[in-house]
Amino acid sequence: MKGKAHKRGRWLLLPAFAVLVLLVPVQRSIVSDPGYRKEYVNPAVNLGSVREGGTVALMAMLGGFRPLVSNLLWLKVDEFWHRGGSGYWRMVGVLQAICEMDPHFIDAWSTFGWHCAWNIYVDAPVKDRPKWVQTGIEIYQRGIKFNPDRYDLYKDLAWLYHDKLRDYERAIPAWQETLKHPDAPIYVRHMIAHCYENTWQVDKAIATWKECLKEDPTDVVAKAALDWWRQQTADPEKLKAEKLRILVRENGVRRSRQLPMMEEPHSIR
Amino acid sequence: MASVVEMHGLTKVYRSFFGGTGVLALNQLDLEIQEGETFGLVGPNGSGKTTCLKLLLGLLYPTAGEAMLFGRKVWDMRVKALLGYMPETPYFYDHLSGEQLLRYFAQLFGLRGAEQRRRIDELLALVGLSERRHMLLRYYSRGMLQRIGLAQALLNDPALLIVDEVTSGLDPVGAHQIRSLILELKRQGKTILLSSHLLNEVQTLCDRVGVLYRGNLKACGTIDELLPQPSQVVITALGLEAPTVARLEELGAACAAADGMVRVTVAPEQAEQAVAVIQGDGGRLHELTRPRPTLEEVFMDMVREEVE
Amino acid sequence: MRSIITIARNTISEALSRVILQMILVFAIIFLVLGFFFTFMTPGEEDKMLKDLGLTVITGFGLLLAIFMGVSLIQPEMERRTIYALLAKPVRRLEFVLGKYAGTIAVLALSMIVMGVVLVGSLFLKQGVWSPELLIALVGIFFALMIMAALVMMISTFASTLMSVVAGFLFWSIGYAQSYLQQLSEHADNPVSVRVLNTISAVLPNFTYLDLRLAVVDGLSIPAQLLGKMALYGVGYAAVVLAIAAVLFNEREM
Repeated sequence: MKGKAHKRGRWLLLPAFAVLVLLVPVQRSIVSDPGYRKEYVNPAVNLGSVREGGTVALMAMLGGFRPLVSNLLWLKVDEFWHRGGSGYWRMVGVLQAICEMDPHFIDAWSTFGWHCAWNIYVDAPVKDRPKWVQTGIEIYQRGIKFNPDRYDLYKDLAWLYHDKLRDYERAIPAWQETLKHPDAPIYVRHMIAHCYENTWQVDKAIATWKECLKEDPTDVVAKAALDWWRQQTADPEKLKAEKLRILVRENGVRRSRQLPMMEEPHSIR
Repeated sequence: MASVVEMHGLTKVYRSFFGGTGVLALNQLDLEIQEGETFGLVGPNGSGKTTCLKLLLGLLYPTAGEAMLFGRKVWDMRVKALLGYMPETPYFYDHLSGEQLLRYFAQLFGLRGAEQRRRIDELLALVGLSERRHMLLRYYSRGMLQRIGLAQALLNDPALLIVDEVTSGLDPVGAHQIRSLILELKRQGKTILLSSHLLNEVQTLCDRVGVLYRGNLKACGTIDELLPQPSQVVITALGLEAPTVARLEELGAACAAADGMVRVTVAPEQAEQAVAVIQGDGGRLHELTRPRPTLEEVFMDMVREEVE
Repeated sequence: MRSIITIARNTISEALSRVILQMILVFAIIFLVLGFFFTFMTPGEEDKMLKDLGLTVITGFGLLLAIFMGVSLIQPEMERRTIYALLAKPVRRLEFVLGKYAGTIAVLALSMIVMGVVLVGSLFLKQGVWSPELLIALVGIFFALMIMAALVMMISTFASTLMSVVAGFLFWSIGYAQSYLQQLSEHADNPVSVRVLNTISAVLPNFTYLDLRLAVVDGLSIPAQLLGKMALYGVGYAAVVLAIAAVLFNEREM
């Protein structure tokens, strides 16, 4: 026991407590600052997924080294991919962890959505396949929410509607969203034209090809497409044959994927 | 004369973290040291000497009672500016040289520039380390560390010097040098509080002595007050025959023969007579002394009483 | 003030003379430079990975420095008893704590600058692009390490060196696990639990407020006002911990 001499320093605790209390609004102010990216605050990342990345990843996670962890997990994704089989399924959790940890990692979102909608789709039981495609859509949409200024995920989403689902009604607005970004690739406009072609909206398709040529007079694809359609539209028989060909091709793909069949497309003019 | 050090009822009990009865290291110590005095605090290991010094330096807090230096609380910065402390086994910063250490501490005293340099040079010369000033402290011998320890204690030309086991670990030459320095400081009128378990050293250096044993002050006073006056005269003589010895014993002397000499112990009032007997019978006086009990002997008696 | 500066200077010279700290810094630089000899995946990924790795190395080694310097401030002085001679001088215990801490922070800042320059320089040599914006992430890291050094120092006033090191790493994890705590409080239905969890969350350090690494690597701009708030949090929290350390040290018997 001591007397009272040692207590003379305790006055410091009062201002310390005051500062601690004052730090609460400071903390709130940091979180609400527009420059503070909330997505970087540690979400409840599935530690089981992180464990797939090995002990180092798990320890780094607990130590707050998220950049290191997301990169280690990314390398693990590559390993699982080459392993195949059960590796495909393990990729799902790990990719989810990476996206949650590093929400501006575009490649991760892109890979995640593609993996669910295309790869897992194949391995999954038939009755579950639509669910996995829907998962892919939701992944892209979530990634877009975090990265609205990048064209990549819009493009991926549009391609999913276009190629996987053959849902040109939804694909067209998605392609158009992609086109709003100045660095979007030139072929996006081509894809819009193809969407119109596949839904037998030939007028709109030709108009789109003309826009492509206007944007880039050296666009050989657009030039060739316009030439083609000039020939088709000049001959009613050729037009009819083309329409049938598109219908057969589209419905063939839809049938194999248990997608709704395409109705007789409306006629031109 | 003003009291430089005052301790009133100073008590220290060491308790473990979990409480319990604790160890009484210092019990109700009442002591005052006057200005210009050299005071020795003696006692075996564990008697409370170091505890007492640490309480004065503010390194420990008292359980009860109080200590004052220069009439102020021990943690008062004005007090620290007048204080010099030489620790028992001085450890200093390995990465510094002797000169750098003194400069570091000098800065803490507010010594600057030319005054700082002058003081450091003086002190290094005083303790005989001028040539080793640039040597890193990690390479210093025990004796050199002791000397630099004294030098740093004197940086501020302290009015009160507290020294803990001044010659601990030193060879005879080194110990003699340090003792000479202490005596010089004493001559300069400094107040010195010395803690030591070497009783003969304290007897040589100190004006007053306090004897601590198991936390209690067993005795306190000047050397003269503490040590009884010599009560016997011892005469060593050669060539004494048996009849002479018998006559001496009749006087009340105790005689013991060894190596051809006879040691005659006699009361002071009989000494002259004894000398006359020896010389009258043809004996040769070899030595005549009045041995005083040493502090060590007095201390051992005290401890023995305590144990009994 | 004079005592604080004097003790700080001695702390700096002591830290720079210690081999273990020199080794930590050298290893950090080696790691930073070595990373650039490996080629990862695609060029886009490589850029991200190199920056992530570089900032992670700096954070990791900075953490080691902060912890090992924090534990060597008080405990070794007491063990070696160098503190006896020091406290016999006109130095308040509070000044001792502040001086030691100031010296530590100075060494940490210097180390961060050196490592930051090595990182930016290595990136330039590898990719031919200046990325000085990475240094902004170091500001956040520095404030986190300020808090860490203060925490470890505080613990070392009453605990052994080993315990202080372990506690240091624990606090670092806690500082990053805060968001889990906040998630818990969001899902708690009992208002008392919410209040308790929020209080614990406010009292414990939260390093996620100071972590700009991912944002900087992703090229997001960090407004100056946010940096100011982070500085306020870092300095404020460190001050609170230092005050507690000073009180504990004041009560400590030697």
